This record gives sequence, C-alpha cells and structure tokens, in this order.
Amino acid sequence: MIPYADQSLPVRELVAQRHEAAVAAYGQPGTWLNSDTRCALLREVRQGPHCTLCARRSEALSPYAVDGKHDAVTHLPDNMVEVIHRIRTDSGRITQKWFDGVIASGLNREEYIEIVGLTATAIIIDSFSAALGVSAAPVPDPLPGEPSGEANPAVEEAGAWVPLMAVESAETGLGLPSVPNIARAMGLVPGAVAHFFSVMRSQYSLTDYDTSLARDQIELLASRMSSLNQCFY
Amino acid sequence: MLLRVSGERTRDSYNLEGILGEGDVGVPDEDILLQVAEAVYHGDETQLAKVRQLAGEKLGPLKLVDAIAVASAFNGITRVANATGLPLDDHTEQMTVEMRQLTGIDAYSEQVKSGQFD
Repeated sequence: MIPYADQSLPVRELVAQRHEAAVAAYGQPGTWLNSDTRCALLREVRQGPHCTLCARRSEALSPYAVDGKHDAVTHLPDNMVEVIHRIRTDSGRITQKWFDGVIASGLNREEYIEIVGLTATAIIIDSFSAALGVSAAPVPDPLPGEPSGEANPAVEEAGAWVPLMAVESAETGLGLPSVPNIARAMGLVPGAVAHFFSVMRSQYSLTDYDTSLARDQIELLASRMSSLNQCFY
Repeated sequence: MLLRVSGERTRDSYNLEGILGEGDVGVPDEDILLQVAEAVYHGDETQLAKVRQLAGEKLGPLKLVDAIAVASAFNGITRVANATGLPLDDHTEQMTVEMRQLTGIDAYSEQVKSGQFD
C-alpha cells in the first residue's frame, strides 16, 4: 500500500490505482523473471543511489574507467545488479558497448528488456512518491508461480540495440507516428510494455489526459527531464 | 521534445535554449516548473521539500502534483530510451534537426556518447 492518502496533496485516483497495481505486480511471476527476482530488482533500484561503486562511477569522466563490485542488497547475479544500478544512477552514459557486454555476460535480450521495464517503472513510482514526501511503497511478498516465457514474434530490427515491436506506420494529428519508437522499445516483452505504460499513461499522454497543466508546460517538464537524463530520444 | 510542435499548433514561439538554462523559454510558470523537474531528477529530500513548498504556493496543489507526475514519468521513460539505444522516429528526426542543435540534445546521441565514454 502506497500511503498517498496520508499526505495532503491531491493525487489523482487513476495514478494511485496504477501505482498500487504496478507495485503489486513485482510480486507476481513475469514473462522471463520469477517473482522473487522481480522483488529483489525493486530493492536494488532503491539501493542504486547508496552504492559506492555507482557513486564513484558517477563522478568519473567515464563510468567505464572505474571497476569494482556493487553494494548489492540482494542475491541477484552481478550482471543483473549492474544493469539495474546503471539504469538507476547513470543511464545517460550507457553505450552500445556496455549493452553488448551485458548480453555477452549471459543475460538474454528478453530478460534485459524485462529488467529495463521494471527498473524504469520503479523509478517513476519512487520519484513520484519521493517528490510528494511519501515513503516508498513496501516491496511485496513474492507469489509462487513460473514466468510465462511468452516470446513475441512480432518484432523487427529498426536501429535500436534490441528489436522493436513491429507496427503499421501511421501518423497522428501532431505529425508524429501513431506508435512512437518509445512505445515499441520493449516489444520483445509485451508484459513489460503493459506494466510500464499502465503507469506512464496515467501521468502523461501525447493526447488528452487528466491534467491541470497546459500542453506547453507539460512539454517543458518533459524536455527538461530528457535533458537532465541525457536522453537523445 | 514536443515544445516545438506544441508551439506550431498554438502559434506560440519558444526559446528552446532556455531548457538548458540560457534565458526564458516562454512558458507560463517556467521557473518553478523547471525547479520541480530538477528536484525530481536529483531526488534530494531537502530540495524536494523546499520546491514542494514553493511550487505549492505558486502553482497550487493540483498543478504541483500534475507537474510531479510528468517529471517522474519522464524520469523513467528516458531510462528506457537510454538503455535500448532507441533511435528517433524518422519523422521526428526530420522535424527536430534545429531544435536538437539548439537544446544540445545531439550531444546525447550514441555516436557522441560512445566516443566520449567507451
């Protein structure tokens, strides 16, 4: 339970509902990761900012010049912790060489995508609650069950490091593609797409959604966050 | 980065370099909105409490929460793009050449990052 009701700011009901459901989903088996791993992942996302190695890398001119071991708080293997902590603390300096190294270390691309989605979703929820001055949602207890292992054959190479969801090309009234690449990025794992965008779309949409902000104010915030995160997309 | 598109639709013009702190962008309440973005990104409790107080007074509680919602959403979605080497959509790439130069976003391309950090 996320204690949004325990503070005075007006959190929209849809946002609170989506956050609750998304946090609970860490305790459920995913597509490639079991519930125990998904819960451990949530703990490592929160550990990232307290990791000594991540702090040393953040201060270095190149994070790849600093070796060491992460201050992990779970049993997750080193390559998973590396991905989670890196995305949490220094995603702006991720390169394809690093990605290739992660895959060569034994993670398959589907596992990688599920980790990316779960990490990014946790960052959204935890950033939101921290900004309200609310404690982070407790990590759920892992439920029994096996990952579905469901592969998505409807993907295509489109210039990213991973195949993107295959879609029909079309444009919106804004002159933008109806399915932008960001919505296709985790296409290898449809469950990760659904989990991430259940939260994302409650807080932002290219089209109409419940907000008191003007469109230019929304895009100003989005632009500044992209810049702070050194995001080309 | 849809400010340019937003401006074209409303016939407003924006100083996109302002996103990097070089002058005003031309968006209502931009100073406090940018402070919200900075605070959400850094996640420092003291900074967040201060900005929450200031923004609550300036924007009101609902706009403050909606601003936090957008900022936190983009604190996550940018990680997906960064971690997948996501290229721009063709149309977006063509539409945003000038804007990417003005805002310094070209410096965040894979080509530049790999040259700098690998």
